[in-house]
Amino acid sequence: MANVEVESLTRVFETRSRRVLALDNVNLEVEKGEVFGLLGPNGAGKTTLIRILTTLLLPTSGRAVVGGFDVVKEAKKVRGIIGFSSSSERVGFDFVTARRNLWFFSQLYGVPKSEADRRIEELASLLEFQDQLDRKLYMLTTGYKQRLNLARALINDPTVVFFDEPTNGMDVFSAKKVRELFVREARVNSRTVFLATHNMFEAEEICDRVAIIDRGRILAVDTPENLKLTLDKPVVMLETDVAGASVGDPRTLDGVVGGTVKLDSESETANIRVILRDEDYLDKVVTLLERRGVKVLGYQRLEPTLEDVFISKVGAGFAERERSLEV
Amino acid sequence: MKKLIASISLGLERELGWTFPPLVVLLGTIPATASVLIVVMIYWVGSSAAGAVDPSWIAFLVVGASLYTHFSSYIWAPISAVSEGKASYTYPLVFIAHSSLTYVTGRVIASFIESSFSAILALGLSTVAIKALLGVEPTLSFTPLSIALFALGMLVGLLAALGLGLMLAAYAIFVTRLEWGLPVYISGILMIFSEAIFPTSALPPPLHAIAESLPFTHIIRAARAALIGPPALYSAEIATASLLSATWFLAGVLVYAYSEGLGRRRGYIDLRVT
Amino acid sequence: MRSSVALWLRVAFSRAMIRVLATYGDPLWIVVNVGGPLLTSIALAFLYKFAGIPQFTGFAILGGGIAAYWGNVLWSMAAQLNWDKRSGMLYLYISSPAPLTALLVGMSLGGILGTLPSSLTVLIIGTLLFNPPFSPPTLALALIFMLTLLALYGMGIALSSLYLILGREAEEVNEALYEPVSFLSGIYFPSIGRASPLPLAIQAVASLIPLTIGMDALRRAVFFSEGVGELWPSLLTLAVMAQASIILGLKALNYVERRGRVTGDILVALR
Repeated sequence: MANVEVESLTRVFETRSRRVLALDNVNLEVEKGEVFGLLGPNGAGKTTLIRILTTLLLPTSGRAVVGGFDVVKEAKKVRGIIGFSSSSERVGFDFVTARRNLWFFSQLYGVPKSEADRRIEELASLLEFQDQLDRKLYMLTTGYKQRLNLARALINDPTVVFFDEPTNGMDVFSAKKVRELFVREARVNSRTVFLATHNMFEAEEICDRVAIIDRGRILAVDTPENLKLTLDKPVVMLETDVAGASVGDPRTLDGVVGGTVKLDSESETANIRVILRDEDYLDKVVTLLERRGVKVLGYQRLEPTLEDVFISKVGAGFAERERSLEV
Repeated sequence: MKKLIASISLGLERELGWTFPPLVVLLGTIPATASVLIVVMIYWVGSSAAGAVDPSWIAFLVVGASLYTHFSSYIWAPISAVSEGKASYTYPLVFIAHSSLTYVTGRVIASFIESSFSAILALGLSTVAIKALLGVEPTLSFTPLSIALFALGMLVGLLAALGLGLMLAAYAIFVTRLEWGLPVYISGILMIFSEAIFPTSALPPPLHAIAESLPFTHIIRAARAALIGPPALYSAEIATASLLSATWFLAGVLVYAYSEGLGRRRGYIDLRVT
Repeated sequence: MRSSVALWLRVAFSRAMIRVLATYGDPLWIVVNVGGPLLTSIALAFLYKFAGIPQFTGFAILGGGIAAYWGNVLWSMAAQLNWDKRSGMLYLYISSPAPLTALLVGMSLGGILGTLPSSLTVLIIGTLLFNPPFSPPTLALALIFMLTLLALYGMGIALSSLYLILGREAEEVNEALYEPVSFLSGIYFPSIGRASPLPLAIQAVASLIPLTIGMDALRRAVFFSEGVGELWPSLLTLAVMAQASIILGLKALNYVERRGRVTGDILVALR
């Protein structure tokens, strides 16, 4: 059963001077008990989609249904069955204890006191912060605040829970724990976990399915494995001298579908990661680079990642895409 | 000097840059004018009921209250420079660059410049408003000499402001929350003790000494001597004000320098404000 | 129907509770908050004394007690949603089924209870220092106080919607608004009525602010022993104003919430 259904969803932001198409005819279905990842660079439209699904924003056209309720016509019903958390909002009130903060958020959903108390204990135990429950928020470390934030998103026992870049700024160990929690919530409690992220590793590791989004358009939706399998073109990493860093857009090289260029200032080399139309173009690319004064030190065929899938669709990586949006 | 100019310019950008700068001055002038009018109305209501209205006191109140709003406005700048700076990590970086004293000084000067405009406008606006509302014209003398003497008083006030500002900045190094509490109290204390809205003689005698030790009291008296008279009082008051302001400034520098060192030893320089 | 009423009550209660806990759980907060109104009212009481009428020092003390509430309405009500928007808390409120009206009413109740220590401190210390001639509390006084607060917090709700639209300028507007409204509404001196020094036209404008009517009636009840018999026009006006400001405030809030979902930038600080 689909817990999130999105049909031909479009959202346009208009100001006096500009018109931005934030979502362009988006179609999605997310099942009950599924960890679903929305993967794309910053500015791709992930947050806009989550804002619409969490009823904060109205779509310009199209339809979205969460837990069987229309986000426009039945916004109140949607709000009752969802949870939300991101790495950017404040966790609660500084001079109030963690327990009272969680109680307050449970009351926003009308959870009875005994049920709220039970859930607070349960979540604190699950996220390992029982000993912090009676401390005021301003006394908690960042790590505990992050856990409290996750507990807050689950306090109302939501059917669908949305996380917007949840592991941003987290240490590696905490991020791992959080990812385990997402999978557990989907498997054990049959929640739909809807995750917006630009972290490829995260999407690959825990998502049952991933939608790749760029400039408001969904480019592909499938399991991470299938998405990578669809990429039938070779991915090659070329190590060059520093001159390689000034190559610019790798698509200017004949036979390159897309790629990224990164300077490794420590070893004074550049890494040019390219997706080739086919294997035969490799020699041509090397020759072209050398003709441009770039010395190729070596190359290596790589297993494709989700970013390669993204690159194969739009020609550039996340970083390049974000930079192009800033201009 | 370059550091100081950069800090003043940054401070002005922060004070005025968030919108159209004249609007900022206007937004500062409106409350300042309203404050002056409140004290004038209180005097008018009280003295009318007592049957002893003396219009010369209106000018006394206009000058004192305008300057008071000026002082109470810029004492926020050093707290903001340090506390807000700690929250945004600017202050520790300024500290590492060996310029935190200059930085705080620059921020106080910037705030002083902005609030000077508001105070002078409030002085003029409230004079006009009082004439329109009460039909009484405050007897202020605006001649080139009186304006020059008034301006000199304000400049001496800058020195006192720097002294107080640096002491407040020193406090802000150690405080980790509710940092705006102290300026509120300082502001209230100045209102009571700096002869801004009533003569020191209205205070119980043991408190007179507090009023006399504040440079602001003498700056306000000097400003009154310049704009209302008698002119003979000016030199004595401005001399006392200069002496006290210089003492405060020196004390401010010493307290700030000591607090910086202590803050560094105890790990307060980058302790975030919650 | 019953469940939405229950939810509304739960939300309002919990928001009020949080505000009260945050205030009373941190004595320093009370100390910091009381400074402004306390020292201002002491200074103004000295001014009344200097003006030759020590009996009126009570005007300044009473004004300080109410100024604590006026400050709370501006800083902890009107500006609160805008701060919540910047910190992301407003997103959490909107994406929950909690009615915003319940949150704001809860915030008002919490604000009224949370400001009580500041207001009482001003009244107690001011009375100890200046011993103004207060009349014994009456029913009229209780009614006026309650209605004045209702009207004030109704204004706070209306302003909170306006500030959401204004964005970060809200704090500057608050700064610019506090003193002029204090002046017009006569927190510290009678700005309307026979004792007012202001021209009639200004008095008429000032009377549009509920605080003006409330302060005038409070002074008459506290210092001139007027009861319901004399004060009924003020009570009636305040009741109408309180109702109007609360309705206006809630309607403005609903409008902002609807508009925010269309434009996308009113309810969330764009990153």
